Amino acid sequence: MPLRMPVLAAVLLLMGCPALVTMTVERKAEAVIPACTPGQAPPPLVFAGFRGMDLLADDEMERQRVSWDDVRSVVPIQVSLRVSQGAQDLSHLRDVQLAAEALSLGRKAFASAQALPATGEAELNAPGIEILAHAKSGAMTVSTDVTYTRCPAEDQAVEATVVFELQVTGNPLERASTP
Amino acid sequence: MSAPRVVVRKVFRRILLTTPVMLGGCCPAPSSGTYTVTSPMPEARDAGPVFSSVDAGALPRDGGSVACTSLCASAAAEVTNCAEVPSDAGPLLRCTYVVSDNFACGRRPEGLASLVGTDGDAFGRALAGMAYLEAASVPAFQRLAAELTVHGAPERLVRSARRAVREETRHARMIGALAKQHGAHPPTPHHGPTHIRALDEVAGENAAEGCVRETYGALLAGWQAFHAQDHAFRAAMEIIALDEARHAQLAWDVAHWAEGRLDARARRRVRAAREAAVAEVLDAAAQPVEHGVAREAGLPSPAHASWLVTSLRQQMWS
Repeated sequence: MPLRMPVLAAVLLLMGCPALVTMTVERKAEAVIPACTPGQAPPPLVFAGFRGMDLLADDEMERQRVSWDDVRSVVPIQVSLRVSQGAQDLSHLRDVQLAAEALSLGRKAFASAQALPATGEAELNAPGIEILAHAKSGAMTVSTDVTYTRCPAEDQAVEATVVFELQVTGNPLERASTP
Repeated sequence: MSAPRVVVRKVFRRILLTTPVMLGGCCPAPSSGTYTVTSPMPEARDAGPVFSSVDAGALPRDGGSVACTSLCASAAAEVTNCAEVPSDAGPLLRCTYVVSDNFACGRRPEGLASLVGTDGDAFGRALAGMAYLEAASVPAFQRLAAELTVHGAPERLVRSARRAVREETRHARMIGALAKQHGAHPPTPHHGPTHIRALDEVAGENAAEGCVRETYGALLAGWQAFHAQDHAFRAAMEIIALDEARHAQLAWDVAHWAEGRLDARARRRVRAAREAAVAEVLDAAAQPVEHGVAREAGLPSPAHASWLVTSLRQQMWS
């Protein structure tokens, strides 16, 4: 009885089940937080470069000939914000949440921060949420929820970086290495 | 016995003549997202109660005591809802937006990658998205022409598909030039597979991309040719709308021809492909487009999108 699991694993290996390879894709996008307009709430924090994303539209993915049939998992593992222009202070933001959206699929939050520091850079908590279905849509948008404690005194440009970790079957990599 | 031939222009005329003053809709938006901003309640600009809680979906834009649009900055997005949120520090204002800047509709080739965010202003990005789809439909029609030839379709259909290749090339050039004027640079779509498929696969794609998406896109193009505020874009749409109506007719003619050559099982698959595409259009048509883009591009209000799509469903897609 105890021998069954190792035997099964060995059989699966011999049958040639493809191994999974980890690949990462980094995407950056910028949004401008304008100084407040009197009588109005600040506008949405829209990172234009995070709209309609196809993670396989990437040099390395194309070189490795990865298709969505080869991808078994997509998880954002690292999310950060950095002030690229304006006051080096993010403390006017709190309860920041980034979520994946795609047509006909629900919103799925994958990173958040309750309070941001009075510095120009901050790391969000990315607990490893699976967003394969959204990413596979080929037109995933990363949207934001944000709470402002106050408005910035002047326009502030913020760059967001998201690192996605993809689990890819080994087959396309073997194909790519074939002359 | 196959169904009678659909004459696209007749149906378009009937729908447009019975359409309420403002129609709605855009094609399934490849990119859209919901954004929420919570902030301290803005100072009232006028005397009296300026804000109370508002239920989702019941935005009293006109005639109401509250106007979310006046409280929630909406230069780059459509405000869909706002609400008062209590907090220890006093009431907060929560604004919800939907952002979507793609409205183009057309025949997409198999394996088309989605357009990744481009540069330029909002209208420029929308134009870049449209030019991208126009360019992408060139190989789609090239493949259709080749597949029709191999499957023995009438020469008339093959010629129409080849003509569509030339017309879509021209559309991509026209709209691409406009996008560049607005600071956006449409990328070149990567070509997908080009092998000749079985007739049922060709018919399935034609049903979804041609009979549904392209047909809706053609009707929308006709609307935009009348309503676009951007003069250059409107002039382009006057040309494009006529071409697109022909392309939609080609899709229905191909469907009519193919139907008689498919067995019952294949016909069911084709019908399923068409129904899935209709569901996608219905689902996405109500998504709002950024105000400025909608105005410049002559896009109808999303509030009536369901009416337009439902009309097509009743008259063409049922």
